[in-house]
Amino acid sequence: MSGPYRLPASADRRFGAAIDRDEPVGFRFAGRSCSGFYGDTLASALLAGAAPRWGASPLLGRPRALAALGLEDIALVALEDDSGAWAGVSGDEIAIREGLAARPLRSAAEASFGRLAPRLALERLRRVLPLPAPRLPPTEPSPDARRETCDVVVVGAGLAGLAAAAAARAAGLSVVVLEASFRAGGAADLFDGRIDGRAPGQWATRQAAALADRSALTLGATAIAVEADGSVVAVERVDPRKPGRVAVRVVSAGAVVLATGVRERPLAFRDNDRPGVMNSLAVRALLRRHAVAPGESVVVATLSDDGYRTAIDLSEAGVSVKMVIDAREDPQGPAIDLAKAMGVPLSFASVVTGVDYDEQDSHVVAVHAANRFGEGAASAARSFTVDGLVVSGGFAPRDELLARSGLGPDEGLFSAQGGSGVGDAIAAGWAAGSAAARHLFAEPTRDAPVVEAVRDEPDGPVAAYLGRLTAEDAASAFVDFGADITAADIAEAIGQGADGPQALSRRIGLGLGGDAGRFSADLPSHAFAAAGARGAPPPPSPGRPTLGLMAARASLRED
Amino acid sequence: MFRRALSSALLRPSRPAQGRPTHPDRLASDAAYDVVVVGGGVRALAIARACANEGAAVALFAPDEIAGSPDERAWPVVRAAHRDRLRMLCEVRAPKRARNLLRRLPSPVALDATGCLTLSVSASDSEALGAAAAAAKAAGVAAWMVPPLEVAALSPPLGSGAGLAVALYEPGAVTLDADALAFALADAAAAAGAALFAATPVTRLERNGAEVVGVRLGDRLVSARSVVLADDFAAIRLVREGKGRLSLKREERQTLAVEAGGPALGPALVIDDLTLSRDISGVLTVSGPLGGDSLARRLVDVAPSLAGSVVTGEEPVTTWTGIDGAAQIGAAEIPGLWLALGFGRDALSGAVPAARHVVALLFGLATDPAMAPFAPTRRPHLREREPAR
Repeated sequence: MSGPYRLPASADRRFGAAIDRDEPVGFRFAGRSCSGFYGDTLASALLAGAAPRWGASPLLGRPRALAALGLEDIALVALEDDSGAWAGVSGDEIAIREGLAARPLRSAAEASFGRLAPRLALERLRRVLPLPAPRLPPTEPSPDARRETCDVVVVGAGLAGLAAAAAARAAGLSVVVLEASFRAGGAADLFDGRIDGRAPGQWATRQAAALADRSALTLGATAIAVEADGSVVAVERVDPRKPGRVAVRVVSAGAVVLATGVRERPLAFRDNDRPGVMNSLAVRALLRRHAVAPGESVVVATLSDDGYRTAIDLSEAGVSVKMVIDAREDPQGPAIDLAKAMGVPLSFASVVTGVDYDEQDSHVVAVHAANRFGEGAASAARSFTVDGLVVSGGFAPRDELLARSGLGPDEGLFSAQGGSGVGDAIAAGWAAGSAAARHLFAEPTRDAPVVEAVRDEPDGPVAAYLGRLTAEDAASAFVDFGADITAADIAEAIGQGADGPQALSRRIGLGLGGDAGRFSADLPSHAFAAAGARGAPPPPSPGRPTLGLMAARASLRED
Repeated sequence: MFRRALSSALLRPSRPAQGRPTHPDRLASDAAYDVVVVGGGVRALAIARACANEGAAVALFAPDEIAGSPDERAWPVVRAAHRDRLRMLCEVRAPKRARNLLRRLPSPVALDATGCLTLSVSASDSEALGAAAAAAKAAGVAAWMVPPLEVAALSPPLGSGAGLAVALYEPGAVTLDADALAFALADAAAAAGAALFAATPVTRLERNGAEVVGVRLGDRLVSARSVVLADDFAAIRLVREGKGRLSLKREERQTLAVEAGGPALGPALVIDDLTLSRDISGVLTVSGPLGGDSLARRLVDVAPSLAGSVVTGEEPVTTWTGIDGAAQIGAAEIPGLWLALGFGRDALSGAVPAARHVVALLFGLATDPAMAPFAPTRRPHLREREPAR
């Protein structure tokens, strides 16, 4: 045991696949000394040690903790000796090692200081009084920039990306795979099924290893744009131990496959940003990889089958799942049948209405739920005394690179965007990889991998949550978590006269948080529709360059 | 609460928002107005508000959203010390008037008295700026030339002053929140009785012989005694497609928004064709010639300490300027048509004076003689220089 939320060693062996319980590791976080096991990430070690909060939101200073993985994380951390605009990474991206020292990117005190604008007053004073000039940030050396070429560049090394790369290589083409996180395979190990007779996680590991042989796979390279000429611009974290040091890499290729996958959408209810409210995929990742549970007893709120997969895992790991609250009226399918068979209590056509949070102990104490239909007594409002809430608002495609590029198959850009399941991901990836090969007049010499996996039922409507928010609840129902924007903020900006999507997004500062709006997926556009604004807001940013990185890219173009 | 509204609230307590009909589908089938304004930016809204205040029946048709237009947001600075003498003369009191206007508007608008620095880029340029400073002094504008060391002190990110040149400094220039100004003007215009229609592009000017008698929205006719074109792109489409000529030249530019939290900029900056401003919430807006990467490179060259700042948005902006470099404000050669167009990179600065002038002409009020050189009917031979399409 390294903390109260670590599963006991007697738990099923499939939980905690990444950790070695015989190798304790000590590290420091925000000046405190903490411990975990070899194979833990910073986030999993902190959660296992019951440090349920470690960040603060940018404007309101609300406590934050891990809610999603990788690119979507909103509680970013930085290593102690690291700096720069890209130094903030998800706690799930940092593998702990002896002597590691890290800090939250923004402390609560700093956030509340920035809120009350004393700096603004100082700047005004400086204009009229002979005060010393403000301290300027140190001038950073110009980042490295390099250009390379290949036949096919694949963005994303999840199941779809690996399948696309396999298809293109089977056609004899040279492939470069860019993966934003420091581990290949994406969420493959969080799904069950068989690909060519292997578990998805094992299949992904083998495929990634085959790519690593020819150094075709680059980890820690975030693609931020596909330019008009079809070259992919990526920001590469050169050293995993110093994520803030980045370089620009421009890959020109005959064809581009975007296998960016999907992100899990959060749900909108009162206090939906509290530490302890976690996305279903993140919960499953913590369980399966690090044997860390989100609490002793939890409620699962879902619009999709993914909530059931997590509920089944939690139940098998010995966590008490008090209820699965599904907004769909009559969901069917194997996931639901299995949950029923395991004796997990299910409640259909009902939604979570809010969360009670203990500021002192920093954890969730209760979850409130009600029927979707019916008012007053008929809504059957009920509460559960739990210390964790798992949410699954369905999956939204990570399609901002595609949308921003404005290119299509005719220009050599292929999207491997399928559904959320293993079968869809492999099929879409293989199809996109083959199409990219055919675009370059080559044909894969192998057949697509054989997949045995169940397909998901359709997701429920997001409006089931957004449509029933009261004005009071909307004030703490976040729709852009990273930028501290609630459903009430949208209503207020509309009241001030901003009803067009562009002006409204500018007004509320949509996507200006550390996650550039990625965690919230397409929730803002649903919220805009629910609030009566015209049109849809701009998609989240795939990754934001600094002026220095853009300047480095300019020098690359001139050479 | 969000940044911009927060900084607005710091300046003045917010009043409860008033609903205003920006997007009604209810437009009478035989709608007739005294004045129809085409455009959705600050300039168009200021004209609509002033016309409504004169008691006219006004309708405003915005091609897209009712908000600050891209060229107004690219450099939201109101200043008097322009390089161009004629423009300086007609905007002598623009910063002061902008402050007065904000006091009268119903909702708060963030205003920051930053001042403005125009850096010289060559020896001949510093002479031209010197002449502008002399003209400013003669016109009563508080603006003067400052030496490189003072430039470095005023604007810390520009570096130690080693590579800096002299600059024209106007301490009285103000930086505004263009969106908030547009919303406040829209509220005021709606309160005065103007009908505002967002996302309602005018498809054609309705003409009776030579005279403009209204506008068409698809197959619907909205008749009007006067039509004011206050959106460059819509005007070009409407007038040129009607076989008229507008004598405007386009410039493609790009705007980069840089995340708050970077170093303080000091005054708004003009460096050759680069413009920089920092709004009260700390967001830096940089505008320059098309090509975000080369723009960033130039910026990092002049202000190395900005290299670590995160770029949160890129937006292409098209600006139009009269082909002799001056805007077109006043009655067009076509009867019934009025123009307020072609302000180039400095769109927000000229918006309110232009609105005043157009409305004074429309209602026969006393006009500012400094505006006369901007009449669209000036020097007709200019029109011949516009290249045939």
